[in-house]
Amino acid sequence: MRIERELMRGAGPVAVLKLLEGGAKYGYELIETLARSSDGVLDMGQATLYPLLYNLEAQGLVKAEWRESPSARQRKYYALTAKGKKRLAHDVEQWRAVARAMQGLGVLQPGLGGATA
Amino acid sequence: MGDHFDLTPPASWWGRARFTPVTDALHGQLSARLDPRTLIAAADLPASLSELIYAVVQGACLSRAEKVDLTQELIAQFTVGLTAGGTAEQLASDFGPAEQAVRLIRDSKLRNAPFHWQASHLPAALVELIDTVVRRARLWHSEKLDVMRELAAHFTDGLAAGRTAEQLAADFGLVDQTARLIRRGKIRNRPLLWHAARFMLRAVLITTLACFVVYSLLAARFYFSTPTIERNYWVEANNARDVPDADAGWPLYRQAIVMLGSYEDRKATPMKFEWLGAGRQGKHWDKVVAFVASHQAAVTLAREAAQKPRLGYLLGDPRDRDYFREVNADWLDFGKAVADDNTALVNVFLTGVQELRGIGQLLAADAQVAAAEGDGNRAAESLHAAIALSDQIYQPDSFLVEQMVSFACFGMALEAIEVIIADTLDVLTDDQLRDLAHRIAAYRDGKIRLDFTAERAIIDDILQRAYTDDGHGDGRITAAGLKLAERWQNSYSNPKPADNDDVLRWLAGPGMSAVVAGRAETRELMTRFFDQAIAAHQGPPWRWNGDAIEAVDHEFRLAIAAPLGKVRYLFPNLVMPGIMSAFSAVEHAIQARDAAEVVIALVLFHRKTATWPASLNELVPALLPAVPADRYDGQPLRYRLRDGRPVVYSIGPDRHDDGGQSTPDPYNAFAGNYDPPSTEPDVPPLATQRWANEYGDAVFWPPVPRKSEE
Repeated sequence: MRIERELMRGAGPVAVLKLLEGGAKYGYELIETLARSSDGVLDMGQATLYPLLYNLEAQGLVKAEWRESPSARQRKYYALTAKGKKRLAHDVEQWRAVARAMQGLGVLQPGLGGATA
Repeated sequence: MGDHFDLTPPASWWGRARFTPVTDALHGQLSARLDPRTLIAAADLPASLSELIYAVVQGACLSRAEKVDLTQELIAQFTVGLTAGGTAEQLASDFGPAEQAVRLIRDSKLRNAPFHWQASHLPAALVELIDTVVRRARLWHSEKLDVMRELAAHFTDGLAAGRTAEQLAADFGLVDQTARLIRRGKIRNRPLLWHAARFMLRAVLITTLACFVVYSLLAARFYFSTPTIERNYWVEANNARDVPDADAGWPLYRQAIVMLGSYEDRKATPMKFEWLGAGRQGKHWDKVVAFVASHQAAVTLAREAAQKPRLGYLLGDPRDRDYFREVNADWLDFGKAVADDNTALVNVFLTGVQELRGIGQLLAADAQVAAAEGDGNRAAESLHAAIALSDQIYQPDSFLVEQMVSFACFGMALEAIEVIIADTLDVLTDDQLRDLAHRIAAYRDGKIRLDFTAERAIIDDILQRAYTDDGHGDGRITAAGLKLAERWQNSYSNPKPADNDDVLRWLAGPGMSAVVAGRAETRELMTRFFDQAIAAHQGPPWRWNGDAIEAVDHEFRLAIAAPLGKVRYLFPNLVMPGIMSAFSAVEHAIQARDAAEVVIALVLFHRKTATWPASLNELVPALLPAVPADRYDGQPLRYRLRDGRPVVYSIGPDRHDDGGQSTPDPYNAFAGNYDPPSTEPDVPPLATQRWANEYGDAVFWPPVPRKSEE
C-alpha cells in the first residue's frame, strides 16, 4: 500500500529512530528492516532514506560512523544519540495519543499498535 | 606501468613545507602530510603495493587533496587485504593494471565527478548512477566522497543480497529529486559558521538587490523627469526696465566706462575711492587730480547720461556685448547668456552696473577736484550727476546687487559733499547747497528701502528650472536642477571640482534626489526666510528685535546644519545667507543721507550767523525739517562742538557714545551691523558686542580719512 507523502513524512523519522533504538545500523540494513517489519508499508528507497538520515544527523538525533563490517567492507553505521532517544520517546507518546484518538473515533480497532497504555 | 618511483618523502625544508597544511605550519610542524609519499612511507606496505598506489595517484591528474584522499583509500584497501591474509601479488593482481585505474579516474574527472575506489568495482550502470547523483548534489568534495562511499556500500550490500544492478537502480528513485534531498540534508550538517556566512551573504545579496532596484527606480524617476520652464524672467525683468533709447542713460554710460580703460590701463592713472576722503590734504591728491584730468570726456558723458530719466540697462542685452566687442573692451565679461536664451536668471551678469561704481567714483572725484580749483558750478554739476546716477541704478525690480551699487554711489556723492564743504567751505553757494540738500532728500523719492522682487523672481526661476511641476505647486528635483546647483556652487568654490567626477555625480544624482527637498518645501523655506527677515526688520532699526532677527537666521542655519541639511536645502543654502546684511546697508544709506543734510544745514547756519549752533534743534525748521535720529538708538543724531568746530556723529554699532571719537580705522564704525544684540544667553554675541570697545563712533563730519588713505 502506498502511503501518502505527508503521512510518510511524519512516520518515516520515527520509524528510523525506533529501528536504531535496537542498535546501530547501516543504510541498506535500515531499508530492508523497515520494509520487512512494516509489511512493506514503510518501504522507502535510498532516495528517501539517506536524505532522512542526513536530516536526523543534522538535528543531532543520530550520529554516523564508518566501520569495518565483518565482511571487511566499510559501511556507514547510524546510531541513536541521547537527544535522539529523547525525541523517540516524545514521538512515540505523540503517536500513541494519536492512535488513542483514532480509536475513539473508530478509525483504529482497540488494542492496535500499542495504543493502550 | 613498470616504472620504479622514488617514494622517499621530501627531506629538504622547502620540500616538506610544500606539502604541509597551513594549520600544521602554524603549529610549527613541517608534517608534509599532503605528500602521498609521506603517507605511503608511513603505511609500511610492500614495495609493489606502494609503487602501485603511487603510480595511480600520480598518473590520475588529481588535486593535492584528491591525491591524499585516494592514497589513504588505497592504503586502507590494501591494508585490509593484507590483514585478511592476502599477499601483495594477489592484491595487486586483483586491483588490475594501474593504467586502468588511472583511466577510470580521469573519466570521472571529465564528468566533473569525484572518483572513489570503492565505487569503481560496481557495475557501470550503478557507478554512473552514483556519479550522476553526486554530481548533481553539488556538494563539497569531502561530502561528495562520503555520499559516494555510502551509496557504493549500499549497492554493494544490495548486490551481495542477491539483487541485480537493474533492480537496485530501479529502486533508487528519481535522480534529480534524490540529489536535491541529499544536498539539502548534507547542507544541514555543515558547520554553524558556514550557515552564518551563507545567511550573511544572502542578506547582503538581497539588500544589494533591493538597493539596486530602489536605486534603479530612483534613477529612472530622476533622469526621465524634466522641469517645465514656462516663464522667461529675463524678458519680464527687461520689460520693466526698457525705455526708449532717447530716455536711457546707459548707452552714454557704457561709452564712459570704455573711456575709463581696461583694468591694465587704469594702473597708469590709478584711482581709489579711499583717496577722496582726505581731500586736498591727502597724500594721493595729485593722483586724484591726474585721474580726473585724463577722463574729462568720460565725465562729460556721465553728466549727460545722468540727465536722462532712466538708466535703461537691460539684462543680457546683445547690443552691449556687440558694442564692447566693437570697441575691443574685452576686459569686460558679460557672460554668454542673453535674454532671449531664457537661461537661469541667476546666471545674469550685472557687469555694466558694477562698472557704474567707477563712474560714480569719477563724478565724485571730479566734484572734489573742481571744488579744489574753485569751480563751484562744475563741482555742483558733478555732485548732482552722481546722485542722479545713484537714482538711475535703482531700476524697477532691481536686483539686490544693483540696489547696493546705488547705495554705494549715493554714499560716494554724500562723502564728496562733506569733503568739499570741509576743504573749501565757501566754494558752493547757498543756493547750490540748498539744491544739493533737496536733491539728496529726493533720492529714492525720500524712501530708501530694499526691494526683493528680483530675488523672489530668482527663486521662482530656480524652482521652475530645477523641479518638476505636479500642477499643485509641488514637484521633485531633476537632473537639470542638480546640474544648476552644481554650476552655481562651482562658481564659488576654489579649487574647481575635477572633470572626472562626472561618473560619480551621475551615480550620486538619484540618491541625492531622494534627499533634496521638494519644490513646495524649498519654496516655502525660501519665501518664509525672506518674509521673516523683512518682518524682523520692519520700522526703524532701534526698534528691531535682536532676538527675532537672530531667530530668523538661527532657524535657517539649523535647517542647513541638520544631517544632510546642506543637501536637502540645496538652493536655500546657496541663495539665502547674503540678504541679512542688506538691511544694514539701507540704514547706512539713510544715516549718511541724514548726516549730509545736517552738515549742509550747519554750513548754511554758519554762513548766516557766523556761529555754529549749540544744538541741532536750532536748525529746525528753517534748515532742517526735523533733527534726524541716530539710527542705532533712535536718539537725535549726535552733535557737539569740539574746539569751536562742529562734530556730527552716530554712536556706532557698539551703541556707546564716545563723544565723537572714532577709532584708528573709522570704517569699522560705518560698516557696523544695525541688528541689535540678541538677549538669548545661548546665542553667540554679535560682532557688535564682541568688538564693543573697538568701534568708536561713526563720525560724519568733519570727514575722517580711512585708514587706507594713510
